[in-house]
Amino acid sequence: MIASNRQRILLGLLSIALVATLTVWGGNPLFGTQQAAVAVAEPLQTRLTLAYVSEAEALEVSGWAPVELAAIEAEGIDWADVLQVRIVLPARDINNLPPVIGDYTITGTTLVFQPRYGWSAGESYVARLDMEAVAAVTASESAFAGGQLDVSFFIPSDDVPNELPTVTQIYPTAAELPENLLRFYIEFSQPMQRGDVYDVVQLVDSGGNVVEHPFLRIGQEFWSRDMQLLTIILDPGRIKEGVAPNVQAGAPLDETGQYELVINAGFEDAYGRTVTEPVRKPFTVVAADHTSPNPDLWTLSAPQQNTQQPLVITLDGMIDPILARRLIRVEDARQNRVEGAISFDEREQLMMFTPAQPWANREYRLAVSPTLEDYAGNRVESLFDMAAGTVAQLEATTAEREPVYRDFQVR
Amino acid sequence: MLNLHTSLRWAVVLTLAIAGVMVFVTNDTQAQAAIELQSVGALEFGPDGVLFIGDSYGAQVVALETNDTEAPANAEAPVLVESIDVELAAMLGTTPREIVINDMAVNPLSQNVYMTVHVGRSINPGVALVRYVKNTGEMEILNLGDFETSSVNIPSAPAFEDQLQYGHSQRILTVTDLTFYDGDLLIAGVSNEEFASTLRRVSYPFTDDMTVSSIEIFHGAHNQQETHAPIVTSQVYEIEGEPYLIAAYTCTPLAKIRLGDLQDGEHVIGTTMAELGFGNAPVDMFIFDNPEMMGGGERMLITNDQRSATMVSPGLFAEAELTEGSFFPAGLDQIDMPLTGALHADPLNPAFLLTIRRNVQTGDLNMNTIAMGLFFDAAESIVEYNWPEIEDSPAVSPNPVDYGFEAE
Repeated sequence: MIASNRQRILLGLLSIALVATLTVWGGNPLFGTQQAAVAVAEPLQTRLTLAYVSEAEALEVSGWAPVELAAIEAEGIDWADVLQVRIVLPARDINNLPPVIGDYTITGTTLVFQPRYGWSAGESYVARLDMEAVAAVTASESAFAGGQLDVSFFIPSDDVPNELPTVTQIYPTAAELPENLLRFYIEFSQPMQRGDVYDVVQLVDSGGNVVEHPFLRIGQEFWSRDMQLLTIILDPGRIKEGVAPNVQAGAPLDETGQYELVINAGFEDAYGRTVTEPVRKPFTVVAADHTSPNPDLWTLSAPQQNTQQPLVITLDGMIDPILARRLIRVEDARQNRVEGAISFDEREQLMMFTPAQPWANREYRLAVSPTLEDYAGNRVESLFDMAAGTVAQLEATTAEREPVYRDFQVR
Repeated sequence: MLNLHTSLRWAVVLTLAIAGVMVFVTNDTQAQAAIELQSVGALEFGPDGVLFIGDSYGAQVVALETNDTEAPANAEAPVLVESIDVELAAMLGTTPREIVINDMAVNPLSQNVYMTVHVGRSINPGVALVRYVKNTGEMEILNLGDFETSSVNIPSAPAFEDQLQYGHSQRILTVTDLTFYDGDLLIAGVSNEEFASTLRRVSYPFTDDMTVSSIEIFHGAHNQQETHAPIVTSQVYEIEGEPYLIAAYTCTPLAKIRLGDLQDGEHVIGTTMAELGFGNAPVDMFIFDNPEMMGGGERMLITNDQRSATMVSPGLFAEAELTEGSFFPAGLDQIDMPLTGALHADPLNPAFLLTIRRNVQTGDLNMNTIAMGLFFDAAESIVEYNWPEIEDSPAVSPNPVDYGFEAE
């Protein structure tokens, strides 16, 4: 184990030494304090890919320009300050944990990180590339807020399940979706791999044509921590009326159009096995939804005391079921949270809350966060698409962000 | 066999390799292989910052020149690392359950804390040597290659497949404790021979000259002479001017062994001074003398895994001998001290004992300091002295853990 580490360190040192040697032989045209000369036109954010590569069992940052890597090495920047990997530990703020120690090596134009003590099967990690530190040396522009590239990934356990991965649900489940739909959720039977989502997931119109750039792509994919739930966001710039992408390219969905969201075969799970059949979700686009969910309009059907009957709530429209699990809760009269599970039926217009313990008391209340949204991003407190100037007004009125409460009694 | 390895040697090899020259070592044919640790266990500091590391799986002891000899700027300060297992897990990229802290030793010169850590509980763990730097409060993982190291092999180590009744491999007992005294390293452990409990002695810098003695001790709890169970913690103490190894065993004699009797190939019968009480294993021992506590004077504290820590008086060692069986503490006078659950304990400085122990209230595994002599942390209890009206309240919670109490 130590020997192989030493070999790895040796290789790393050799490659550094090689770069340094080239520097000397090359008359130093690129390095040293003249790093401003190393400007590369395309910004780092769109060029670099940060991903866990399961075949290599390594975290890799690919897409560097060779001069950048050389400049970073020449500046003596410690890669451990630029690329940090942290393990996700329960009930711990990941930002307060020290990073995982490991070995950083350069292979071609790829930075490779391998943890010194290996990856832990069944655990999740978060990697962060600090592009500000890099941009300072390479003179590349840092376009994103915070100048960071983040990726989270899951190391599958060695016990590979027998079943191949399948898509178990696509939300919304309704067949008619508003023109201003903001997101889809794709639920898988087991942990998947990130990296190729936008090659595999497509929006196809009624003529069988793939819609170009319908999804928001900002260099990362939106996965749940267990890598079983993928969020696909339709480009909000194309949905929000009057902003440049909307004016130039129009909304991604046309009203009255017929579409299919297609998850093509080949989507890889955490063990490298693929979804074998394409999965299609056909839907018809209807008029845009410019109405906020309104908990005051919901109908609550009271369960019976001393049972675990669900509280059944008929909603005033579809709500986002994934957000609802986080943003809706049931409290008892002493405002203690009642443990239980939220489920949906009738195309996310019927919600059930099933308590973990029988309903013991009579008085309860439903607490709905003002930030609960429908699929079009309309919140309880505000619409996704608002007239200019209304946001400030909203912030003033909802400064407290108190939940909306609905009292109910069990029978 | 003697292994010598320096990072300087690697630097030379590296330089030659960079120059693109095929290096062929001709006159250095015994080309000392790099030292590899298969496991990391018992720790002991020698003079000038040399750290000895027991490697039971690799059947060797490695000496590492830490060059860590400078006194800290904050020599009087206590230490607190909350949830040290979580911190280590994060650094090593694993979960706290996989972290095994095998031993902890304070460098008496720098007060920096060294830990031997396994990643994973298998027979093939990841091994890490960890240093807590007192000046910065940071932990770091050390690379063996960054230090001058040498090693000594342990002959006749038990085989991995030799098991004890409940499945423990006897190999984990090759090196159970290390003690440095007067230029010599004493290596306690188990061998594959008839009388398994073994004490080895080798001078440092290491030579090929190792004396090996098997040790026999009267176990009070079993009322019999025993030759298998190893010493788990020991320290040299001079009785009437002559050095003795004061050794504590599992199940649970406290014995004295005259160093002068440790001749190569000899079977040595030590003198049992006390029975520490059945169903328990001692963990660490050290001698302290805190003039402000209990009138001062030399005392020895022995921490235990199943019982409260035991305090004895070294002044009584000369006369002490136990010859009758007893399940319960017997022989030397023993005083229970209010310290339980200490995985590891080592004096940080004259005022503080450093421990790694689980907090009974929070369940967190913390590395923290407690007052030398009293050995309890008042913040963990509600005692009269905690009331603000009490004047001259002794400061017996040097660095209380955060229980989340918030005063409005």
